[in-house]
Amino acid sequence: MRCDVVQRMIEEGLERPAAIQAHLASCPACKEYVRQWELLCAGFAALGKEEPPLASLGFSERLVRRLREARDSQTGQQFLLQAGRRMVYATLLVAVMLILGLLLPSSGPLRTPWAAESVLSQPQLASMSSDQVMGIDDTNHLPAVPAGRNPQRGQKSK
Amino acid sequence: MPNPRPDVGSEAGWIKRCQAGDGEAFSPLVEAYQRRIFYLVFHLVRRREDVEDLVQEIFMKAFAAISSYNFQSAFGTWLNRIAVNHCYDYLRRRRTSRVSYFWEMSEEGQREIESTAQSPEPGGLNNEERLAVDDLASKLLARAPAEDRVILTLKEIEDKSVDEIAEILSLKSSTVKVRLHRARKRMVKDLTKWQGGR
Repeated sequence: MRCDVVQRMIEEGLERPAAIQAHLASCPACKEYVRQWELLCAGFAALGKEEPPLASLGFSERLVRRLREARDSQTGQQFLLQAGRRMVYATLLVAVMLILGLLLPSSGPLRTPWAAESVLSQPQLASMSSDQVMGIDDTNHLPAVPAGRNPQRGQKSK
Repeated sequence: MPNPRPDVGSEAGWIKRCQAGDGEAFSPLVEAYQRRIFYLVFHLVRRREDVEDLVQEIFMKAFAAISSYNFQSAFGTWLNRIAVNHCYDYLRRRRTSRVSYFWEMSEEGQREIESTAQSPEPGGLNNEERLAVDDLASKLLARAPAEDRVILTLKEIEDKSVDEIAEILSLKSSTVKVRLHRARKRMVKDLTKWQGGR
């Protein structure tokens, strides 16, 4: 019989059949294991008999009060958390709008003819203005370009 | 255990009220189970001065998690699970070290235990010897790793069955048996080592 099996059976407190008894008689290691284990068992039994300290007076009332306080503070915290979260979202929205407002100027290159003029050369402008869509000539809608407004115009035409 | 199980019908009612957020309904549950939890915590941590605080924290945790209790296991088992986990964390925080398992004992304690260890029949111990083996088991447990300490306490001191331990620790019964054997073996080995090293 293997020592491990014998030791397990001893630990479980099972009855010791003849085979176990014979093994214990011939195996000093298992015999010693049994001795030590029984000593520990006696110790565990003594520990099990020790009484724990008594709960102090009003233990459960104090506990319920603490639970109530914890719940109240949790409710307060939740309210603050929600309010704080909304504030953060609002601030983020305002910040995004501000950034967009700064990045996208109100007079972008393709929004007004004035801006288009600064990007496109005069011949390009002229060809654009002469294009008619659906029979409508919108050249008339273009305001007169002030002289010297586009200094690159002359150079490009050369 | 000193406290009888409370009436299951009314217990379920209190639990349901707690689940609905009624903190006052937790009071009878605390009354019904506090003694049992005091025993368990005391046996697990063995520090009288910490027991009440730990029990209070366990009940706070239980109340916070009571909505997750689904009535599938007994409320006491569910509460025991919370208690064991909490004590396990506490023991790990205290960093009980296996390395210093034997050598932290006082000389007086060592002498007492040594003499007791040589007594051939633990069943026939006198009072002095019984105190010594109590001290021996207590000190060995105090220095055991948290896992060994929890499983040995539940089995050898709290006298719970393997199936109960499996339910409390959320393990299979076969795993509990293996861990229990390992823990016992380590304990005996440490005792033998201590005696041999003297």
